Amino acid sequence: MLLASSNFLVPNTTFIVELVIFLAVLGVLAKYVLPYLNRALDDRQQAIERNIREADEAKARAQELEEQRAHQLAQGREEARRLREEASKVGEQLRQELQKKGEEDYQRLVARAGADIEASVRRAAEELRAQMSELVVAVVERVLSQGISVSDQQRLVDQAIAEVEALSSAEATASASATGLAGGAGS
Amino acid sequence: MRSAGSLLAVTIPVGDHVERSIGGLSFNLDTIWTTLLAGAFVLGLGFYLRAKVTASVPNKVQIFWEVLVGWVSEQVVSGMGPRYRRAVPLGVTIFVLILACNWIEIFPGLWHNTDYLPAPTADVNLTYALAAVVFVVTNVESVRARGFAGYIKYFLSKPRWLAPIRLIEEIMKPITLALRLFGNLFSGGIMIALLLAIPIYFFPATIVFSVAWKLFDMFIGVIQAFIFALLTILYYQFAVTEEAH
Repeated sequence: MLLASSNFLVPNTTFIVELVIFLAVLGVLAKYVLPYLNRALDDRQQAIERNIREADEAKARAQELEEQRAHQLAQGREEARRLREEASKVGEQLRQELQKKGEEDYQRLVARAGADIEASVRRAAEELRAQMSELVVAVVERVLSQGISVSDQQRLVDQAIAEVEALSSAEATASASATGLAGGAGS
Repeated sequence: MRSAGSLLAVTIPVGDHVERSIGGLSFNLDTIWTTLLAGAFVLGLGFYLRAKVTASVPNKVQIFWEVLVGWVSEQVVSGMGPRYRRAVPLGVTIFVLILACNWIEIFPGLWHNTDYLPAPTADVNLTYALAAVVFVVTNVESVRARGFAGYIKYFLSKPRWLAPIRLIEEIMKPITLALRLFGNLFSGGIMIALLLAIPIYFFPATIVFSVAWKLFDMFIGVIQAFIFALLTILYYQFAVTEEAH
């Protein structure tokens, strides 16, 4: 006995054995068990930190993409607005050009029609004058060849005048029609 | 014929052990084998943990170890800082071994001290051994932290007349640590012995009281292991921090 063991508060040699057992358990746990647990805890902590970091990065990336999307959307809208305005402008320009061209074509057509009408009238007048000349010549020839009485002479003159008047009225009608056509096209 | 008084009188064994003398040295064999059994159980749990340890989803044994190591680490780091993490294995081993020793007496019996497997913590030999380790470790750490001169200086600091008190306090720390644990577990055994000493015609009550006390004793076992480990960490902290010893 280390000490008197009659008193149960006094230790004996068991103390040494207990001390050895405790130190052995402490040593084994400290060297062969707890480091493995600590490593697992560290690994888990690192995994959690990594996951949190990745989640943060993914969140930041998502935010960045969202901003990019919003930016692109705004750009798209701006582009669409610009194209719309441009199209509207081009359309207006085309409309004005076409209108101008139409007006020019119209003026040209009217001018050409007027010229044609004038030419026709002139041609008709020339034809009339030619016919009148032929008629007068014919009347004169008839008068000179027949030796007609005064009354026949008077009748022939009246007939010639009537033909001339008929031709004149036909010429006047043709001229009025040409003028009316030009005026109608101009309006 | 025995009188009624002598019929009820029983002898409660107090501080009785299976004692053998080897080479003139006395050994409490019951304390030794129950401590060995508890130590083997703790190491078994430890090696089971080592075999199954994982950083992903832990099993129940790993959860137990993680909770225990986490609690001790938190106490150590919050009190002393991360550089004293080396105190964690001591706190963990003290808690888990004391808990196993306290709970080993869950198996009831009538053979020795009413239990087939008496708690080794009900023997001062184990509690003194644990307290001795704490005493040595805390004083060595104190010398390492502030140097031998600083260590001595604490005892002689002003007011000087308190120097003997400080010395007594330092010596009493491990003794109270050991006797607190011993007293609680020892009294638990005596309570069981008293309950079993109730005469046979109160048999149902004896069983009910014994079972109830056993359950309460298990609760005491946890509390005492917790207190011992916590005080160990606190004494460690006092030893290495500047403010207190």
